[in-house]
Amino acid sequence: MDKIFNDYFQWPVFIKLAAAVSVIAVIGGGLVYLFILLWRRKGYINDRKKARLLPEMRELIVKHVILAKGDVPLEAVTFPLDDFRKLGIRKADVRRFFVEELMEYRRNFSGRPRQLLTRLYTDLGLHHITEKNLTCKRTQGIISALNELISMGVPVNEDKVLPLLDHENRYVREGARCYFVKLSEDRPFFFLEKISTPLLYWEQIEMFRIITQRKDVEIPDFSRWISSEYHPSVISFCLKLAVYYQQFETGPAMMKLLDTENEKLRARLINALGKLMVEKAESRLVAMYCDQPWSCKQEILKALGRIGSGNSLVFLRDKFETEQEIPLVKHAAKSIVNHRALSENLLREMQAGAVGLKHTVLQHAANPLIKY
Amino acid sequence: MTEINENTLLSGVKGGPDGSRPTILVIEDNLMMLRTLTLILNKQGYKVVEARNGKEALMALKEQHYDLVLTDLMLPYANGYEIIGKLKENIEQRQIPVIILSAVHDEEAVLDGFGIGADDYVKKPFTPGELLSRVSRLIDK
Amino acid sequence: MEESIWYYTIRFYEGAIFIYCITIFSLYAVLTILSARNIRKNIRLNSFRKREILVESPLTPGISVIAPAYNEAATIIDNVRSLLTLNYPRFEVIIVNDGSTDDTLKKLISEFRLTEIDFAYDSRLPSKPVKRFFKSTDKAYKKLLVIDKENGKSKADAVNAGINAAAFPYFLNTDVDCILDNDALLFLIQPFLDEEKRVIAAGAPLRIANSCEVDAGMLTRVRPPRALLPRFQEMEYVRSFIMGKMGWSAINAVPNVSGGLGLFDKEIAVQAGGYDSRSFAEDMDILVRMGKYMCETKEDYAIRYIPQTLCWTEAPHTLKVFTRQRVRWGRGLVQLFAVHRNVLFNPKYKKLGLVIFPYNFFFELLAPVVEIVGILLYIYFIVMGMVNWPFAIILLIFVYTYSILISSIAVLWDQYTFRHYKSWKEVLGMCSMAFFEPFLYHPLILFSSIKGYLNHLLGRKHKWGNMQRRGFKRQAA
Repeated sequence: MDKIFNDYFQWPVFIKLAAAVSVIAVIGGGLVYLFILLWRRKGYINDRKKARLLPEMRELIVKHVILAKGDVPLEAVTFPLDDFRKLGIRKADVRRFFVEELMEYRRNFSGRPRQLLTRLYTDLGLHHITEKNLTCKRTQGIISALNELISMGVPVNEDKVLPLLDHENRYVREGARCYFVKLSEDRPFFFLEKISTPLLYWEQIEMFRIITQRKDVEIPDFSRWISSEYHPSVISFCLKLAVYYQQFETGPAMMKLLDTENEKLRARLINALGKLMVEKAESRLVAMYCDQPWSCKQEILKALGRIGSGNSLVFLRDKFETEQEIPLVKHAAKSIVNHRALSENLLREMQAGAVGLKHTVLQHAANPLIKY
Repeated sequence: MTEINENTLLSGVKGGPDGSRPTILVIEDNLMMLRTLTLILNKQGYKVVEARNGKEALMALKEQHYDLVLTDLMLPYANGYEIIGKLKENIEQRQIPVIILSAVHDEEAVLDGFGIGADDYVKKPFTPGELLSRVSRLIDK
Repeated sequence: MEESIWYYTIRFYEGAIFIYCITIFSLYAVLTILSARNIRKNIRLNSFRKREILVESPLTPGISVIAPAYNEAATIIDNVRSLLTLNYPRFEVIIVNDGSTDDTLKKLISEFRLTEIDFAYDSRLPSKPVKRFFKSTDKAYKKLLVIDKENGKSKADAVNAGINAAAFPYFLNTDVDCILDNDALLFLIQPFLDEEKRVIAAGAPLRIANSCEVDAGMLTRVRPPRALLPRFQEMEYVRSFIMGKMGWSAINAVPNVSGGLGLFDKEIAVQAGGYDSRSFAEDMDILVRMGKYMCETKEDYAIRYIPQTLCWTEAPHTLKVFTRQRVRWGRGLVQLFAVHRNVLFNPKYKKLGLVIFPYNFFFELLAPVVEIVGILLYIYFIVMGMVNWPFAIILLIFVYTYSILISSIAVLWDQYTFRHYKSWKEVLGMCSMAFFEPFLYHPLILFSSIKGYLNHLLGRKHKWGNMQRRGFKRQAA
């Protein structure tokens, strides 16, 4: 052993390194196998615990919350808190299972059960740790806390959440914005003013869901944010909301922005105008068609079909006959079909005269089995 | 006819003339939702048969008669539309009322559901009272 | 004079190999760390991002699932069913019947009540002629579109036809016999929705289904392959996806999204020209062209990997089929560098030219060559009595233990993602493959790669052959 040790220092550098790394690799390999086994064992124990506790938790939640009788006012409802505490929710892992179950129930149920789930969460004092975690040093802790408060619908002092809107971590900022949209009583939409980086699509989906599920707040006129002073992603998001809430009054704001140089935004504006069936936009869309890139041309043809006033049938037929690119020909045909009764005669005429590819496109557009 | 409100509903159903409890086939791949629906319906006095995917559902339909089928749309093996379609094609089973319970809110999905023969469509999130009143209405019919 | 040239050549080559090895081992270490961080980030993200909201949302983008099928009559119905029941609110399933000579199409028509329709087909991407289109008269199968075309002798040709007919802005490229996780689309769309840069492709790990139990297209029991050859492949897949691709994804330098499972931005794929049916590595080739297109149009882009295993596929279980597959991959790699040689070291192509291509050129393409030359040199040293045996043994031990460590860490990271397999014995059984790999599996890879290179350089024709499916282990009814 001593001899090897003495010899070691006489070896060339790379041999010394190789030997050292080999020893580390062997020890490391052993540790890795140990970790794998420990990790699996931990997971297995967790699964067993969860399997044991979940039926009990579900039984209690369904009995006392989901199926709670509706004749008692919400504030007067009491829960057998000791029965819930007996599940062991003081322990971190049990608390986690329990809160995850509550969140899932809240996602799947609406109305009174949903409110009762929040009551149960606060009555059990589970929100205290969450609120405390809003100011913890670990970013993951803050994100989990925000997510829990949002999912459980528990409002806290807004001053605790405001600074998180400017946090360095992107997911904290997103969580804080979602919090305001979900739980703020007087300023749920003010986050739209503060956006300077793109509002990513995932966040738009989340926010859209939260806003459209909120019944207690007045929905503003989204024209306010459909303006060039706001970030294109904010405009795009508000277009989706305007369409969902069928805010026809946003039409003029959308038309005003049609001159934007941002091609993607222009395409979305045209799409929204179509879905809102803004008839006033028809002539403008027809006039601007020739100068547009492919994506906007496609949207214009689709929009004219959705608006369906009958005024652009001649234009659509012309594009059907003259356009070379099949997707554009297809959209022109589909838009004619979408005019239904208004275009019945025209379609018959076109079908009688069409041959080859044009005939195929017409058949495709008119076939109810094909949606796109 | 007595007025159906949440309180009468949540106090249990009356049995049939021979005292037997109505049986409902619940098809749902989310385990939590499946168990919860079973608990809710059991507490109302209904017997429940569970199916976690399209294949189990189609097998269950062959095994016995049901008074109602409550199904999700997106299921492994066979989607809700296919199950309803097969049900409605079977002369003996086409009278069984069907309720779709789904997170998909698409107007088209709802229309397709009714088009294929569903009797009702409940969107998630939902209230148990709402679901139970629809179940009760269809079973009583 | 001659002797000294030879002497210096040997010394030079020794030094070069030394630097080469140190670099490659350091890179593996770096990838290990990068992949760990990336996996951790992804797991944390999934803990608060609920995929279910995508199911409810009307804003969720649509996906076209494209799966070519050639003579798959035995399993086509179950496979198509499993694709039709993917958990996602807006998608279509396009089955491209690539000139099957069995009754694949007949079975599809019968089971799914298909009727022939007129379809406005835009043949933008090259493919063999499409003969017919079919849609179902039954609302339950309205997501299905079947395309019947002439056999194009390659998957690329069939996928191009599918892309031409696709309606949605994203398409999923998969094989019809791959078993996908029910939530595969929900997982794969996430990177596209969550970045400022335009994500043009996303992939996820594949695993081997050879010994898994499958019931009507649904996986009921996951276990590592029992046979030796597929088991080695599983180990290799775990290492390559979990360690390799996740690490590269962390620095946005992913070289390849597997053809077994990949979600792509359709617009970019079409602008890049679609799949190339002449390529033997069509999945890597299209990604290079998509990357080139993005660089040429000066648009920032990303290609991402997620760590969840979403696809199980059947791996070759005989040496013959296996070597044929690897020879083709080797050939594809040489062909790729030949076709796209202007990318290598070209700053115009940013990371593609300065990171991905150099890495793949030196440490993937040249690796078998370096190894073969090294082995020959070693034999020469042994014959000439020039080997310092104690040091040689230390070096061999170093290489061996290091490679086992890397493979074991890959399995650990994989277990962190999801506790695959039912028992710890199965996991350790997988890990044990690392001990035998250098002696049994690696020589096969080496041989196949060199053969592939030679085939390409000598212009030999490639014999495609069939996969010779054994089918997954079916559960007793």
